[in-house]
Amino acid sequence: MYVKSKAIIFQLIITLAFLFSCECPPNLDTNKEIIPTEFSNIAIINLIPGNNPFDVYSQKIPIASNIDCISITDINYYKFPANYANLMLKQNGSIIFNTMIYSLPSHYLTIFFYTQKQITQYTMIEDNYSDTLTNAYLRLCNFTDDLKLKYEISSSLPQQIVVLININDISKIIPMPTGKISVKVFDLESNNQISSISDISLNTNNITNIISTGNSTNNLTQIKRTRKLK
Amino acid sequence: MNKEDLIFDYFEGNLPEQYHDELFEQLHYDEYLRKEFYSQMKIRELVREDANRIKAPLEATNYIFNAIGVNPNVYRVNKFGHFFNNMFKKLNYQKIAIIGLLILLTFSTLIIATNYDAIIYHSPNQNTLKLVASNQKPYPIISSTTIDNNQQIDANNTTSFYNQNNSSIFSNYAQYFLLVNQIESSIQRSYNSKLNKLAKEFQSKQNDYLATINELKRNNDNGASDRQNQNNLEGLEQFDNKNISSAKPQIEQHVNNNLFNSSHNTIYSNLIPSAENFDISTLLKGILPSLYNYEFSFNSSTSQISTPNNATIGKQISYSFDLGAKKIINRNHKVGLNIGRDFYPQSFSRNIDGKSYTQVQSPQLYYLGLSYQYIPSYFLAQSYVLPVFSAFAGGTSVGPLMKFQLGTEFSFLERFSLNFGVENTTLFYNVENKIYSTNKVNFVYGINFKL
Repeated sequence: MYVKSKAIIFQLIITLAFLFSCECPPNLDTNKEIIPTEFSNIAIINLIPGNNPFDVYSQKIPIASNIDCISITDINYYKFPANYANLMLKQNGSIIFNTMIYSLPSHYLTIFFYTQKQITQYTMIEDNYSDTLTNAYLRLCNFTDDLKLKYEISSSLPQQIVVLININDISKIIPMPTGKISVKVFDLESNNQISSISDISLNTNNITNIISTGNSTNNLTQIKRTRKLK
Repeated sequence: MNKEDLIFDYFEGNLPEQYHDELFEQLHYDEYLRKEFYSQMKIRELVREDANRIKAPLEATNYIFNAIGVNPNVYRVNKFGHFFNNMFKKLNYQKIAIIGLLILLTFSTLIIATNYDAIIYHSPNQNTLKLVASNQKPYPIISSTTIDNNQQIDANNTTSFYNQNNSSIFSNYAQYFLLVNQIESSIQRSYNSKLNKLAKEFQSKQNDYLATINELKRNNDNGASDRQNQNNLEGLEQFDNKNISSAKPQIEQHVNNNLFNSSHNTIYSNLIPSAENFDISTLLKGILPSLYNYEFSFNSSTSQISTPNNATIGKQISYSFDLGAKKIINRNHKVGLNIGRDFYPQSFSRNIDGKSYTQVQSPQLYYLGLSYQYIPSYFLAQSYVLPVFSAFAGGTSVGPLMKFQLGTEFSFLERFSLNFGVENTTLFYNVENKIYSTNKVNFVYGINFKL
């Protein structure tokens, strides 16, 4: 009898605990990851000088927070809702960019934010990682104000690779053997070398973006690398 | 030779080497032959894959092995081998905890197995009780012969247990447990006999008094004229017959409260280290009350939780704690109240603005509930290491919580014990009218204190 009454009290407590559990798990004040069931992967490369870190949202859902990709070389991919979805960037709580993006499930995209003639621009491009595992990838981007550029790439290959890139143009992904390369950038019209970077590491399943911004007097060539998720 | 035959012989390994060049040359020019070559190659690959998947019937295997005179069991797959291989290949924290517990249990068993002599047997100089195992009787017999403190002990004149098999640790523990029961019943019998003796003494004195009173009354009734006798009668009437007859014998419990003057078992004697009582256990015995009914526990556990981050899957170590207060019902059962904090990894589906999402989080939640502990100590009455089974049912702010723990309790000091175990936790919660549950296994460790 005593044991039976104890068991009833026990059951009552469990039932009450369930009924009066007032906090809904989605609203708990804790770090949370909200992953779209169908998602693509986006990398955001911010090339706007002096810009502060920002947060990425899609339809009120936080995708990534505190992205500071100006001083960082290696850029992460974030899971983003596939098909038509809203992409919103917030800085200090206020919206600085808002658009709709169409992406296919499991595809990889890179979005570049940059200034051209003091106007903020953005470009989105798909990252086609081929299935080969032994290659690294190289991509050249010309976001300068008014320069047509010539890139001379020296690698372990016997000959130099020369690529001409027009203003606001992005090269196709160039498969390269892994290892070190060096790049010289020339103004195509004057044939003056405007910058050069040596000892650039090319790694397997990475896309190394060599991006030029600025103008003939004040320009910058930098490296931003994205890596395919395993 | 036919071209198809060339390909067939090549795959069978029967094509002479001088024909290899001819075959490869024809393959270079003849597209039809290339297709044939490719299709035969695919067929052979598929056959090879299927052959690996198909297992021969057991009867056929045994028949073939017997026919060639080989024991078929020698080549049989060792399932336990696979189990342990898989376990060690996918080694993680939970499995390490389980392996650790198994090692602990093994170690505990070894301690019991090697020290049970010290637990059961006593030196004849200190105590008179001794278990004597003998093969004289084919079944257990308990004889209770009263013995003096300094009496010589032998198998014929002592409290003895006879058992056919004295090699089993459990039989020896069972004997020991019976001995404990016998001692307890002897003490009870001894007290009963003392009580009976006192009651009899009281009864006899009561009868004497009653007889005297009756005699005096009779004298009074007979109209005795002696004044002195009347006065005596009045004085004796002050005895209340009812009070005397209804008074029950009571034994006052003797408690030594004189902590400062007694030479033994006092704070004074225990706090000053001497050759006899310098250990903490003796010191605590002197300070703490002799009886205890409650147990207080503090347990902790560590577990790996995933750090929510959209880009990468990070892991971090989380720590949790549990405070408990239990009522000790008897030496097997405890019931109590527990409060604590733990991390609960959660994963559930959500529908936001028409799109489906999976939310992953590891919130830190407080819980409160009732716990029950069972210690099967029948065979291990005086062991320092005991197996413990615990169950907990309670609630968190998001839903009900259940816990089950299997572990060991290691008594290392008077009233103090260490607790090690593997705990399975299940949390139920409701999201958008759908019930989800979180299940996790932790290695738990802590300390208990009885008061």
